[in-house]
Amino acid sequence: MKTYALKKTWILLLLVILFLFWVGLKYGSVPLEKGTLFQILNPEISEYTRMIIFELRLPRMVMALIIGMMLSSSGVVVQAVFRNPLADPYLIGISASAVTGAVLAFLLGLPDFFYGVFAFATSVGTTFVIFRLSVRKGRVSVAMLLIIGIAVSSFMSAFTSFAMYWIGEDSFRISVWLMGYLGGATWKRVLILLGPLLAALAYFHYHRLDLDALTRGDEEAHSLGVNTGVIKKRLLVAASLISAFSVAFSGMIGFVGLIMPHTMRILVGTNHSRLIPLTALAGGAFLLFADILARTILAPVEIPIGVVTAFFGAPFFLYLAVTRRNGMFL
Amino acid sequence: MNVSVHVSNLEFSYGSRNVINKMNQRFNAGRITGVLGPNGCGKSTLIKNILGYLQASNGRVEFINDADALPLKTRRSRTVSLVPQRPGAMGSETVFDTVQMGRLPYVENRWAGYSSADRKKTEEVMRRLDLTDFQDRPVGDLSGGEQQKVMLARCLVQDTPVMLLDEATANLDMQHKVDIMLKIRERVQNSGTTVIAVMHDLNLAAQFCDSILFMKNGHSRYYGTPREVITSEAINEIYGIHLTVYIDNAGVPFVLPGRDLMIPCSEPERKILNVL
Repeated sequence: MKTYALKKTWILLLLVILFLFWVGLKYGSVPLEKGTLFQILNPEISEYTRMIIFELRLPRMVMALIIGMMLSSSGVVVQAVFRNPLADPYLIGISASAVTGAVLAFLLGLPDFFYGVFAFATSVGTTFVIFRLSVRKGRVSVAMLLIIGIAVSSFMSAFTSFAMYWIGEDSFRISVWLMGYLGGATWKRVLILLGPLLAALAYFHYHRLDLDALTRGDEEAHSLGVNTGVIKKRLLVAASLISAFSVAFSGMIGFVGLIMPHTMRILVGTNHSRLIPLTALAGGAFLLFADILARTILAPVEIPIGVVTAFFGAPFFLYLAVTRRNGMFL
Repeated sequence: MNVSVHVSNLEFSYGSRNVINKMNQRFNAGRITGVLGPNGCGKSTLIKNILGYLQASNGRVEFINDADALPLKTRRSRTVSLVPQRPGAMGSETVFDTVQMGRLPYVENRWAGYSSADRKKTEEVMRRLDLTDFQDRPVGDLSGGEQQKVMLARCLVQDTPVMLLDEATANLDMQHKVDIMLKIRERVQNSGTTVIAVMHDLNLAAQFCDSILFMKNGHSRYYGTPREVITSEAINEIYGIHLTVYIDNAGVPFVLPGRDLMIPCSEPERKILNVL
């Protein structure tokens, strides 16, 4: 007989995050002296060490946490709305259009900062276009949404590939984007991301009971008084927006939005009042872990974080899919 | 509160295909009405229209309060509930959470969520249906029959004067079929609920329903008590097959599908008659 271990999961996740912060602050391309971490508040510590900890490692780790939370919580919502464990925010064309935006900024010769801005603008724009096109008789048709999403993704990828050939050698800067990068983290960026994250989490939490009902299918949700057409659309737009934010600030990081919601659904069940915060924490922890590996394994060379998430994420996903069919609502 | 459902001049089409054609029918409170007919006759579409999930292109569905003969003002989800055909597709939600969903139409403040009264009501219904032992288990771990009982419990927790059953017992074994129908009878007797049940099993319908509605081509064809409606002629017209209708000791009609096409003889030699 199976029941869900909730308290343990909460405590475990918080401990893991604390532990990862400790590891992540301690290790990096520049080694810290033994015991330094416990003397951070000691005024005698060198300005250099202080900078490494407070201006480089800490903001980057907080950013990893936030991006992980964004991707995984939007994954939870998208999967619930589509009633498909393989759905994730990237599926409806968001990532592909974000990359196109970044490529466009590059072609226009704009400074690096604009990559993110353009990526955000194009992915939000495409999201709305895709939604417009997929409305049938006043409600969003999930099938249409997926078909249009795939078509748009293919078109955008074609544009990106063409541009990369055209640009030639310089295109490596776009490749970085395609594989995800957290190196640009600053406290300012962390603050900018914190707003959308908290707003989205609050919004998802507000609709937690509707999400529960939606996972039972449209007809049942309707019979329970959920205005399915409107709520699905709003939830998807909110999920798309935070994905767009995360793509704009850190490039494409795959698998987090796909496997974290799925794993947590198996571990703690589908009740969204617990699933949403727990998945956000787990996603944050996972990305934190992936980022620590990305910057330490081949230090001082950094591996793109998307490579790490895929390397661990894909086999883990496969393992779950094969061993725990119960949680797959296929 | 007794509420009857009035369907008047209802029309509905998927694209150019008319599924419901100028249907007029009244479903009375305190009765189980079994809706039967061949696949594609519009049974499920009718249910979806009553539920308000599909919007009719013409005509209307009204919920009339029998006490004052006026249309009901409460919102649809507090008026009518549904026991769907297939048990939940997802399976990782707990039994308790699933049953409690029936209180969703009564949650006024989404921030606050379910109240302690909602929780109490859920627990009470679960006790009545012997589901308490399952409450923390994922729905997907239960058998089909148990899952359908969970759906029934959610419906009872929703506590509406009208209940819709969309082939709710179609995939269940005998024991669970009977169990669920008995629970529904009990509810109808205690609360005067209006039950509209789409069914395929003529014998089950004859036994448990107060009225039978045979649908054909998207409208009502025969309506009455099981004894009045379930006749060889009606079955021949609706389903296009010849069947003898038997009457049991209690006066309930029953049929043996296929019986009339077989030579009555001992087991190993049973052959198919050449009458088709």
